Amino acid sequence: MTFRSLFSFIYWIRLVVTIMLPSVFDLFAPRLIGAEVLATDTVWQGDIRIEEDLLIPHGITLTIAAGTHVIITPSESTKIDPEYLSNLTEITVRGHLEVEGEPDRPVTFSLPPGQEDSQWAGIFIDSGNAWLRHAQISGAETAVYTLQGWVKLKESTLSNNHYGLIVQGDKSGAKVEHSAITENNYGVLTLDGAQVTIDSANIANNRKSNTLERHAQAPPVNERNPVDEKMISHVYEDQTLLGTSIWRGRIVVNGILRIPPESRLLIEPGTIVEFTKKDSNGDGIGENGLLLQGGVIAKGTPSEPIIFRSAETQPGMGDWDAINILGSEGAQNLLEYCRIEDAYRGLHFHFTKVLVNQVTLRNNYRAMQFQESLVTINGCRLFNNRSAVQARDSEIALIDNEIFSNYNGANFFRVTMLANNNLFFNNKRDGIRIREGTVTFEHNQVAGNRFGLLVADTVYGKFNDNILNNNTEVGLSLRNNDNIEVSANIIQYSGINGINIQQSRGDLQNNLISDNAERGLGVQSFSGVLHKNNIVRNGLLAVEIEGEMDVDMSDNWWGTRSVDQLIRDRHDDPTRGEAKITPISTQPWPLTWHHGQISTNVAWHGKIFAPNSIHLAEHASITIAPGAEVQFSPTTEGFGAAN
Amino acid sequence: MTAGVDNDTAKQIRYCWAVTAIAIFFLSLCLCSEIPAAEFATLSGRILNVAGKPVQGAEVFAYTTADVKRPADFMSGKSTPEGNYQLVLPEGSYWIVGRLRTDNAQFGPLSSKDKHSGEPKPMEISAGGNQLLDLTVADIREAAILHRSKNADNSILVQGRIVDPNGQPVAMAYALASSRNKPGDVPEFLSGWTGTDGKYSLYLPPGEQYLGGATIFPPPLDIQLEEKITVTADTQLKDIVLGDSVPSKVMKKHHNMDTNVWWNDSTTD
Repeated sequence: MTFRSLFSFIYWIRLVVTIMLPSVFDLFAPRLIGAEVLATDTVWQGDIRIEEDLLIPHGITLTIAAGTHVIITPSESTKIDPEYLSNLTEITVRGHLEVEGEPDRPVTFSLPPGQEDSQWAGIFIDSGNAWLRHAQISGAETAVYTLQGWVKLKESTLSNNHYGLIVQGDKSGAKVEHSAITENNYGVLTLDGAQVTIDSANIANNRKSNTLERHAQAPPVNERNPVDEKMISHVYEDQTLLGTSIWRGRIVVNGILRIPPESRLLIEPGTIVEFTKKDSNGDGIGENGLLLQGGVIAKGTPSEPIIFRSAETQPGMGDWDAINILGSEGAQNLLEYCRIEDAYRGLHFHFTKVLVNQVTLRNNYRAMQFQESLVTINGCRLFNNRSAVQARDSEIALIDNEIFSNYNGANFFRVTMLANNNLFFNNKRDGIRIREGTVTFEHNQVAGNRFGLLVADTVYGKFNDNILNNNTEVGLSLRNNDNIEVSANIIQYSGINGINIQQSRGDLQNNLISDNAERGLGVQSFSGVLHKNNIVRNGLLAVEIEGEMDVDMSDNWWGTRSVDQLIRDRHDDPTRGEAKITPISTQPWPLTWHHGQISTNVAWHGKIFAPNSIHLAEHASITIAPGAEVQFSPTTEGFGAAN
Repeated sequence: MTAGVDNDTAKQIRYCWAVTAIAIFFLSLCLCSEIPAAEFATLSGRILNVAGKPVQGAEVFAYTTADVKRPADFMSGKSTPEGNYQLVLPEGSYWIVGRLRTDNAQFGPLSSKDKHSGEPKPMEISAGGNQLLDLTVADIREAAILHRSKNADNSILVQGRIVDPNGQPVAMAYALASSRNKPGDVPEFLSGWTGTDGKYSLYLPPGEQYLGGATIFPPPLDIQLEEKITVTADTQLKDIVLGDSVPSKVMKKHHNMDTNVWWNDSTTD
């Protein structure tokens, strides 16, 4: 063999090995699952690594064979598209999930080694069902969360999660047989009429609670009447409309309709705009919609609203894409007295000025999503959506709206916002979440949600004169905030804690914190003013100090002289901080009642001054506690009730 | 001659001491060069309010970590009437916050009336010299205005009421604005419907605009907008008298959606 042929031989060997070697390693490496919607029935086995959200749509089955190890990479910024429920990595089941573990070969779901301090979202059963045998789930925010679906757990273990199992809603159920739900923060949470059957299961040694059952108390709100139907006046395909276009009658959009810059779309009262469903990629989401780069004026009236809806005979959520308004920063766009339903994103806008006035948005994946816009949302009703509002980097006036019966209420990130007189009711998860930004949140009612109001990472904020009642877990959650003012709020009847505070500084005064099932306040770390509050008649404790830091809680009214029994702090556990409660106020702090309309159950303790008339909505109530003193002004008409 | 020590020995002793002293000297130099010297720099600047005016009595705090909800690592004196401050810092990375207390409290969290410079500003302080950093302190309302000023276009909010000739508010009307008093088309700027209080609001560009009102949509195409205003201030209050802009002859324009063509059809009231 000559040198030349030898070198050539070595060269080709190296080339082949270089190509083949990664493939050889791949045989032993975990199979990587990126962001995915399963298009066909799928079987997993071996080692599976998930780095993005996974969706099992309707009609599809994912089967996980015995001995499979599913490793979920944590992330705080997975897709937040409307069909996903968490910003953590999640497995969402709308079809069927079959986990076929065996006693000596269980199926495991866990975080990667070394990342046990992180979290993934968990398995969401969202109108699907799941059958888990010999499954072991750990490291999740909620190991299994069932919302409008069914899960059967057999011989499975849910441990080291924040929540083990949550079953929510009267269309949800779970059967837990011969399983262990242990060493989580919360074991099993049953919410809002869900059915849970437990058979020979070990639900114990969960750090905060083993089982909790809660039911939201806020009343339902009725939908409005249907509209008169019309003959079809025009059908549009994929098209661009130049100039000023005026719509009336009944319009069918069978494509993507574009209004370019310098053009406008005007829609007259009573117009119906319907979108046919086109789903070219099989993900269940329609693609037809409006793309408005000019302006839109859709001026309905109370008697002749404008309707945007699916054209399908059996309309469903996500049948059409959105009313997209992009870069329309000249004149203010207007949508008034409209109804927007069955969309993926009802209203979606960027870099736009918009007034949304008296608009109903229902049965959309996300009712409204916007960023970098100047927005006024006034008098709107957003209900039965997967998510009501998601917004960031915008200036917002949110006035007199009703956001209810959605999965998630409103989510605001880095906004400047004035939010007054809104109702956030009966949302299955969050009523309203505010992160960063500059927000004034006053005179709102947040009730019947799982979590009422969450405020995180803000350096300015005013949260005053709100009612945060009857939320299934927590009324108000404050995390990592600075210089915030929280005063004159009513925080009552929460299923667990009235207020949770973590790493925050601010001014909490003149709040009425009462009748919460477990604690009035759970404090991880707080510095600032926590004075002149009325903290009474909470189920287990008035205050629990969970962190190491002492908290100055002087000058509050505790409603009883035996305050020591109401506080858990360093006196009970030397690793905790001390609640410095002296001097104690021997009298309740007067509270001026500013809410003219009450839409949930409230309790009056101490001294209440009601300068204005009060109207009670249907199913709402006021409980006046023994010893309470109520003063009306001479001009007050008193109480009015709906029934 | 020292008793008991001859000259040679003394010389040797002196020699040894000299060598030892020299060795210690050089050793100390080495050791000194092993110990890093604390290099300092000056951070200075002005503390301003949202209007750009100097703020007296504010303080600047420097933290060695991003956690600023704790006692500061370094703190300046109070700013001068000209808003000047100065802070001497060792070389390193810092997070800087400016704060103005309106009460007499010296330490602890701010109250809602106090002002601060918002998110901590990261700074790299290099040895020697002077680094400049101006800070704007604001309360929540001022912070919102500041944010709006940075991000919004130059639209100005014009508000008022729509009233009838008797001065009574008109419900279910809306305001219109255009740069022409006879727009000949649907004006560019329309407000939402008024409530029973007749209030409207419009975002308008600065400059001259003509205002009017209407109760039907789309508005008549021969509508005349009678009220001329110059849009300059942040918020202007301007009532619109509805009778002024209702023409005696109402022109209706029809629209063919297939061809996007308009045609006129006039009627009289």
